Amino acid sequence: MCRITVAVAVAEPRWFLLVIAALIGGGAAAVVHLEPRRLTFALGAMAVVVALLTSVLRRDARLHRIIGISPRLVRVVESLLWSWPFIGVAAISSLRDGAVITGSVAAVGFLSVETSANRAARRTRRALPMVPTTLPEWTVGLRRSAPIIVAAVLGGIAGSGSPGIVVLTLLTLSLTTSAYFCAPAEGWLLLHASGQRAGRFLSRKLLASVGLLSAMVVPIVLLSALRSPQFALVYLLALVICLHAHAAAVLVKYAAYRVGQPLDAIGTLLWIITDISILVPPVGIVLLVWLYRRASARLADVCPSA
Amino acid sequence: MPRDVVPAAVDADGLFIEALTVLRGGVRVLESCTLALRAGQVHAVVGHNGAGKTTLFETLFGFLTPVSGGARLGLRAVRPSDLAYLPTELELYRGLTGREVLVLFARGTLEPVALRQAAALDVPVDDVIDSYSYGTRRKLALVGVMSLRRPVLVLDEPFEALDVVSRRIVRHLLRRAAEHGQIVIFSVHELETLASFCDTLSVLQSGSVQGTYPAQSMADLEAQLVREVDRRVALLERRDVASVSPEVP
Repeated sequence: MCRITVAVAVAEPRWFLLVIAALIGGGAAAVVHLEPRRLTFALGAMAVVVALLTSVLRRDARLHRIIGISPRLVRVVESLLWSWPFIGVAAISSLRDGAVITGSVAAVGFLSVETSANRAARRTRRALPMVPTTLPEWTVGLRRSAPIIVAAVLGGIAGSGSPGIVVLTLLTLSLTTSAYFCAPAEGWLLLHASGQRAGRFLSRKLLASVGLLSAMVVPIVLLSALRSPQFALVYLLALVICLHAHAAAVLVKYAAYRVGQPLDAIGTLLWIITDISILVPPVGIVLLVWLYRRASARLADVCPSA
Repeated sequence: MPRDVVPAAVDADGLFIEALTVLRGGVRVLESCTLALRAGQVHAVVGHNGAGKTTLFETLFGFLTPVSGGARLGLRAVRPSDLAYLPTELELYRGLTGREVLVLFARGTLEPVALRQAAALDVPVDDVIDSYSYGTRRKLALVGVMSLRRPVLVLDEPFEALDVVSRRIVRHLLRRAAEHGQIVIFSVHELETLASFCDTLSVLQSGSVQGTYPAQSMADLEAQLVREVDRRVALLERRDVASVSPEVP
């Protein structure tokens, strides 16, 4: 633990100082304010953590290129957008606290651009033996979002008695792992190298990815159903929605496949529509089948035909 | 003028490209392109920019549909699964290490030979490919493509952006692939060293194969090239072409 801390401090001093300052400041605030301020402190901490997770862990921001403004400004806006619920609630109780949290979040976003660049330059990467080699999206994604995944799983297990926490956990896991498939797509060379027909390539990727997500969420759902059986149906419904959304993300990646490009606006819209379609079950299934066919046709040119 | 050596027929494992004509955007990019290569042959395709080299490879791979002609491997039509194709434009998986990319190429089982090839080419396989230079990425992709072990190795400018040592090693690797029975066909712009590892080469001009020659006749081709360069330099300098390079009978 000590070595990791030193390594982080050396590799990313700004990031390290920021976190330390946030922890010391947060701790001091908690000591001074104690009970009445606990909620505000918690909200502030959560806002900063969310800003960290959504800025430092992401290196794929392209918004600044599209709208032509500074990357730092984009990160600040993104951090504030993600954290606004916490800031809003804190500001209702105290405007000053709201302003402090807003400043902290903006600072995190502002500093994260350089921190992200440092992370990209770092070379060594841990091998992830539990992830199949056919799922490079997961390998890359887990390296970037392991803290979110671990925190969500642990939070889900700890809060398995509460339907709200369980549903939130499932949504977090589903959205985070679905985002792995929004990253820039691999070149057709690797698809060709797979040596599989398009349909086989796609179905294996779909099964493996949904299987991995199931391995994380099904135990949480089972534990929750055992602890509070009266909500079993809610958990089951949340599970179906999460797996459906993840399957849609996998299929949309290849249905809207563009070499070296992330999911575009139309692809994202398609994914959202497919996710919402689960509310009308036949449409949800039909859309998945349509996406599968479209993705297979898209890949047919580059995957070996036999 | 070197002797044209297009064989009349290919063996049962040979690659035969027959009168391939391809349109791109309504323009005839390949015109009755014909080549015959036997198993274990290393064949270079040379030509100016826009001569149709990449179009030829993309058509072989199935990206483009010819308006006439076709390609067969032995007695059957060529399939994409017969080809290991290294394109000029690469997009490997960002965030993966070189080793993980090679595992993807190898479909899960990375052979020691691929790691040895990568080491010989100075590819740091345990680093994330985002940190690789363009040349290193190409070397990694070349090792990956070679590990596919398909009957035909189609390489679009495999020496592009490679350092001197890596070029020599790639030449050796191509020769070894041919010794294992693979047909190696690649495009290249530098002619100097082709004779040392190629069996034959074709000159592609304006979408047509001007001729296929043994690599030993490189000296004649280079002499032609020198005359062509002289002619263009003379035009550039507005000099008399004959005074720069007298016509060789």
